[in-house]
Amino acid sequence: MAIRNTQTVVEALTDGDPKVRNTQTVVEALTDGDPKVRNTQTVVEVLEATNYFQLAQQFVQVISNNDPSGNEFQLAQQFIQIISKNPIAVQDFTGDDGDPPDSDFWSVTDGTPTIQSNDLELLVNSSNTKDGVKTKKLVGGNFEIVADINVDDYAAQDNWKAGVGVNLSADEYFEINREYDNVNGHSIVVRTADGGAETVYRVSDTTTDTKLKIKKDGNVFKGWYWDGTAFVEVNSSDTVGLTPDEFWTYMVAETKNNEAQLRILVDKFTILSGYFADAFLQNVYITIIQ
Amino acid sequence: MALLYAEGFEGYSDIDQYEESGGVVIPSYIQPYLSFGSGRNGGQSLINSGGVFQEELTIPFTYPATNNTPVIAGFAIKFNNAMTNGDQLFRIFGDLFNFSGLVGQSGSVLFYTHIANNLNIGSYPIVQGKWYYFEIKYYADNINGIAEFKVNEEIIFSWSGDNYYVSRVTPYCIKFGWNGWMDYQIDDVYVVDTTGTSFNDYLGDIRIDAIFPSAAGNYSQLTPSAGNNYECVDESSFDDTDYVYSANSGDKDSYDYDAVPTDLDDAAIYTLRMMSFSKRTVASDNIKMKHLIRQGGVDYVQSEQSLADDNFSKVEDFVFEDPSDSNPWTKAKINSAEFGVEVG
Repeated sequence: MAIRNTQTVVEALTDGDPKVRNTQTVVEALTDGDPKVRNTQTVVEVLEATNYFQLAQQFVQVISNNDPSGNEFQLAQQFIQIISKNPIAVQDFTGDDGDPPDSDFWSVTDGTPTIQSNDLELLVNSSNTKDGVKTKKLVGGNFEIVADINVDDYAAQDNWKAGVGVNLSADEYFEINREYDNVNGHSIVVRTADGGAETVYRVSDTTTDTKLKIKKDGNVFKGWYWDGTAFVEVNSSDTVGLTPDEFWTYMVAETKNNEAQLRILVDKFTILSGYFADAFLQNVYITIIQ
Repeated sequence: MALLYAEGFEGYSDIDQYEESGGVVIPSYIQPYLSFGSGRNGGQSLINSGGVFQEELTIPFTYPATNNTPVIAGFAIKFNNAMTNGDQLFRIFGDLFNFSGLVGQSGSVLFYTHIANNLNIGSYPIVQGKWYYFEIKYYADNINGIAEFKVNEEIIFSWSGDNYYVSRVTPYCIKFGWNGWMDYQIDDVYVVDTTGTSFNDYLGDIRIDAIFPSAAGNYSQLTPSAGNNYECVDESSFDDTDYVYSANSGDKDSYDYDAVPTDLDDAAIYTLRMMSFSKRTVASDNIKMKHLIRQGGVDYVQSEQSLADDNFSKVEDFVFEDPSDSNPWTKAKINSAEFGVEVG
């Protein structure tokens, strides 16, 4: 056998990947010259796979201004919350005509103040020159006091004043009044003293129906009056320091003499903030010794 | 302006609606024990009947994280039954509870500020069935820390020192009633920080009243789902079975409102808060709303606000002054105004 030459070609298609489908095996066999020389060659040729485009999903996005014409606004409920200060005390002077003001709250300092048509009447006439009340409890902390007053009748010539104040003693006080005198005319006046001479701040105004407000912040006092629209601070550039933390509060109507009548009606007295100094006891401990 | 939170619990129908309004975080396991009851000055308060251990009612507030300042919170509280030693009443909460009040023996509230351990800094005796107005001031610092407590506007204690723990912790919520079975009511809650020129200090004992629409105002341009426009939105307890609606920007509704409670003082009104429960029907910002105030025949609108599209949700505006004269609100000014809405 001189030459054996055998070639076998196998082409196989695979099940798994149709892109690999051509496999060739070549076997070249021995020659006669030297039986020891065997030449075997195996060639495996993998043909290039076919490249396919595949599409699994397609869609179109429409990008536009989000402005649906059917969008509606709907409102199911609406209300207003009013956030306000809860006063620590309100005296509205309801009661029978002729009665004194609430004796649990007030002590009478001058004259005979009485309830009249659910107002507190401070009346000065031929029999006296001063009518006034004072709270029975000290007010402490950063407090704010408002008195709604109406000047019902006043003397055309006599000097007079009526208002609200806080004090520690005869020469330690801060008060704001509706006043009249022959030199300055009608005005709103802050009078204050911290143990020495009185300091006066004045704003001209003829209002007869107003509110007078005192506010203490730390040891600084300020005074306002209601001009019919808003509270107006009397001389806002100045403040007055009174160092103690607890004060008596009072209202008073007063004339220079008793020649004519001054009638002040207080509709409401409010302590908006602060606290009553003896309102409650704190941290009371009892030790029982056996 | 530093008013971070205020709530009087008026206008809500149930706890679900209250929670959905964004006013509070309520775990589901305590929700059955919460309800609304009579408020301190009329209206509503929030009752926690205390039926479950480790209950926790969280009132979050938005705190200016870049401006770490003292925070002040106030709330009215009344205890309805006996208290258990160790019940946690409240805590100002950051990453850790920083200033807390625990009910102690003999019905006292014991106060703690947190360093490495709770540090007892004071106490106050309380009585069941009585309303108190608590105010607390807190600031975490390793030198100038503050833990201050007031009852009915009087300072009970004022502690200062090192209450710095781990890091300076910025408070962001108040939590009520953790680790206990307390039965209590809260009302008239506020939170302020100390920045700005107003609402930057103790507000004192506040009250929050609500007034509701009572008659038609100048405008009825929205469409009512039934009846008159104002009758669709006048519920004192939330009800979305009727409502007003519009798809037209610029449409207005305005309503006359109930009179302000007569016992409020003109000098005492801090602010108004307009509250609307509203929504849009499609999730698109092409429709919004503005609160409307009509005073003296002139319209004043607040800033435009976006709307939710799932449920009727709270849209609020604090209106600190009468827009017609930029002066504080008075009873007369509130009573003379119409309030309503403009479609944006």
